[in-house]
Amino acid sequence: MDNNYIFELKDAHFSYLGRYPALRGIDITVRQGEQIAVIGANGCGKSTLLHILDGLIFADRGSFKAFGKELKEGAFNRADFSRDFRKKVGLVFQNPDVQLFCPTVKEDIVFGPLQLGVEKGEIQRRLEGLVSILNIGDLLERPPQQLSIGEKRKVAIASTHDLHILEEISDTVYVFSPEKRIVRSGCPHEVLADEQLLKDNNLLHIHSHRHRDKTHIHSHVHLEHHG
Amino acid sequence: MSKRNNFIRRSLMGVLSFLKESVFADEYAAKKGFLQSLDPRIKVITFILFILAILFTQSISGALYLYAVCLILACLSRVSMGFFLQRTWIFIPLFSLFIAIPALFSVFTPGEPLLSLNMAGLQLIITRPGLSGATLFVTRVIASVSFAVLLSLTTKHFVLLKVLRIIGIPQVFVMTMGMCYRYIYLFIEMIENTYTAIKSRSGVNIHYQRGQRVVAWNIAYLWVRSCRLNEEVYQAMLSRGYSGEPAVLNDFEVRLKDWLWLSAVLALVFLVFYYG
Repeated sequence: MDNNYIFELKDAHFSYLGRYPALRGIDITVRQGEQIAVIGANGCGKSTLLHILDGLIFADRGSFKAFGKELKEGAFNRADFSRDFRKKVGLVFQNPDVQLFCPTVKEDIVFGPLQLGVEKGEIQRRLEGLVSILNIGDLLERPPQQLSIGEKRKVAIASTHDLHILEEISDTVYVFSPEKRIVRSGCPHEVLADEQLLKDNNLLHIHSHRHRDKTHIHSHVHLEHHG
Repeated sequence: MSKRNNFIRRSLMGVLSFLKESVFADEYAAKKGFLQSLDPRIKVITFILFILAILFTQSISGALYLYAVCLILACLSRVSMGFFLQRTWIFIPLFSLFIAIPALFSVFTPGEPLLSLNMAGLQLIITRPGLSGATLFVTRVIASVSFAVLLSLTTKHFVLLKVLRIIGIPQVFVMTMGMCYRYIYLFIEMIENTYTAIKSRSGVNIHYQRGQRVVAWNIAYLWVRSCRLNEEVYQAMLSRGYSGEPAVLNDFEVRLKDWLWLSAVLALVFLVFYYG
């Protein structure tokens, strides 16, 4: 992979229905292990960008490479490629009610691995691990609609795969280490709205109270409203 | 004016609360009782056997005997008897009673006269076979409905949906049903929230014509939201690897207790047919 990039988006343009522009000439590169924050006003295209990174929609113009390979809509017609990409990339949607569509929390967590053909013993191991890390054992048999918004967000994160793209961090966000261990949970708006932080050239240290560990948001992408 | 407006409010809230209580309440299914402890697949099979036995038995005593079994099962499963009887005796059994009334009379069921009624110069004769047939019909309906209600009360709805697979319903259909169930609740909440928002901005007493406009606008808005949600949920499914053929977790487990229960039901059904 060139320079260890997992995502390389160059000069990306996207418009809805061919008429309403959402992205104009976006360049973004994301390296393995890097954490970035996408910041911008409402309607400036943050969600659109994240949906492109997750291969749900495709740029009208520009190039997009994921894990060193050109990503085009047709590529997802190949079952092996689609499965491989979905195993690696998971999008946590802005609205957890969109993400949690199964009748119970447990089914929601195992939905992805089951679709991707993960072996059942491995699914069970992952489930037990997530239950212990996120402390959601009591929620497993409950329907998602009965959960609080914080619980829904936890479960939404548990239901995604290795690489997390968090869409709209509105109230509580959980920052994970590569082993899916929570190293920080809290309200990131206050942190990310901190001007000093933005001036600080994209480096953020979040100290964990629970694990006395550190994680970093290395850089941020600031999207501007197109008007 | 305010009365008409209250009528809309009361109807809306009544329907929503009924839906929440009846469709989404898993209160009894979550209790630790006998039926709740059985494997859902075995439970559904045995309940189908019970209902078939009720439908095919020719004796009232056989149907009553099975109805008594149903009541005992309800007690063992910690279902409140008052609640259960209320659920099972309204609407369908009463409706069947009205359907059965004509069968009482000699016009439809000739036979040995039992009672003669003279209504406005018209002589109506209730016959023994008529009374027997109508009683058997109503008893069958009550017993069958009771078993169906008991099954739905003691089994979580999503589990019941999963069990549909054992009778060959395609997985994609079961999954769609599960999602419908999931999102009806969300839409109920949306309607409630919208109504609360309207109340907070317009007050309780608004002109009924304006109320009708608001309701119509909300129906349209809910439709648009449901279409948007439909697209978003599909994207969320794709994002998690869905490719058109859903795979689901099969975590049912049949134990010795379930096999014993199945054997006992088979024996019971055989006895009802043999002696009934």
